[in-house]
Amino acid sequence: APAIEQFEQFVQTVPAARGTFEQFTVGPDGRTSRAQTGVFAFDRPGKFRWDIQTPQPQLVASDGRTLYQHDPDLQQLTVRALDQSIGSSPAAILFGQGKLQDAFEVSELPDDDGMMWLRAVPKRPDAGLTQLDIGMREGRPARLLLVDGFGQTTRIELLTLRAQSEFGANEFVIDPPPDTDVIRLQ
Amino acid sequence: CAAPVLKPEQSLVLKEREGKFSVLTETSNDERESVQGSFVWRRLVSGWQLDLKSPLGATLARLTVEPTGAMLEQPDAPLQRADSGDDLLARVLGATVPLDVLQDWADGRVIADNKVTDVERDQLGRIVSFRQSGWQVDFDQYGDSGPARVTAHGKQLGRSVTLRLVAQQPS
Repeated sequence: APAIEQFEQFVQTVPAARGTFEQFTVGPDGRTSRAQTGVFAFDRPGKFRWDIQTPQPQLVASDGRTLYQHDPDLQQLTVRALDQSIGSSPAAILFGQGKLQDAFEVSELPDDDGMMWLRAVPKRPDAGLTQLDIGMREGRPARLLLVDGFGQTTRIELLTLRAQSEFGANEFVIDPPPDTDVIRLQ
Repeated sequence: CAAPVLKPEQSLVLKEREGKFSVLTETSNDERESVQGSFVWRRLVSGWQLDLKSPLGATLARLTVEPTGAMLEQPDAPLQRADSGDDLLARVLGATVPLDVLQDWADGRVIADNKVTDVERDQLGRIVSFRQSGWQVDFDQYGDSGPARVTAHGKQLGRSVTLRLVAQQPS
């Protein structure tokens, strides 16, 4: 089945999962940044975690209502309401429930590197994201290519992805260590 | 959006520094606003360039400062120009950040003549805090090539500003 159909089936058949990722930024000059690695989890609709662990930790989580952004090195946790700004970001695409076509113009791309590809272009300009390609392998997203407004591509490899039946109560909430400066924004 | 006018490869990228930052502003009736993310700082042949990025790697703003002037590029927003980078960056961060001394702080360099006072050192003689240009600056998490973390507190127009900066050790 073409990539779009595979992706929509993935959204239907995998409501919750956990996995690991590797992330690089490739500049317009082709130079690659050092790889960042981490773990992710999602529980549709709206609950997700995107925890960069190395080289410098940066944790992002949402329980569907609140967005947590925790930086252990900076000892700062920012807590804000999850608003539409997450609308067409990769997190909303992978972990949301709505149809991709709601917020994106979606098209099929030729197969490449053993994957079937689709391209999603945000219908509304989205701070930072001008295009997102998703590479599907065996019915699951395996690679994401995000292109931002400066011609920089962020490549995310979803190394492992395991369906998950349920999660602990505070899987999608960040409870930081005591010496963290917690900033609650309206 | 407008294609970036100045691409890094057009000017030789001499030195690059990555890290994370946050700028927290608090007003008297304790309204708080915070901008947080990661940065890439590049010295160019004729100036330098600063990218501010979201945790997912998307570049949210690019500030390029050259002798001829400064330019701020943001996706979905018109290009902005000014004589210096300070006020352009303030539009993104919500507070004026001491760009001229920030590079020194990130490298743990404290230039004595630069209006630096109240220098305190730890038992190893390393500088742990000082005052400069109206900022109270603290260094900690010293690594082999200097402090990894800089915290600077300042007052601007009745608001207190806290700048936190964690620079990745140069690879």
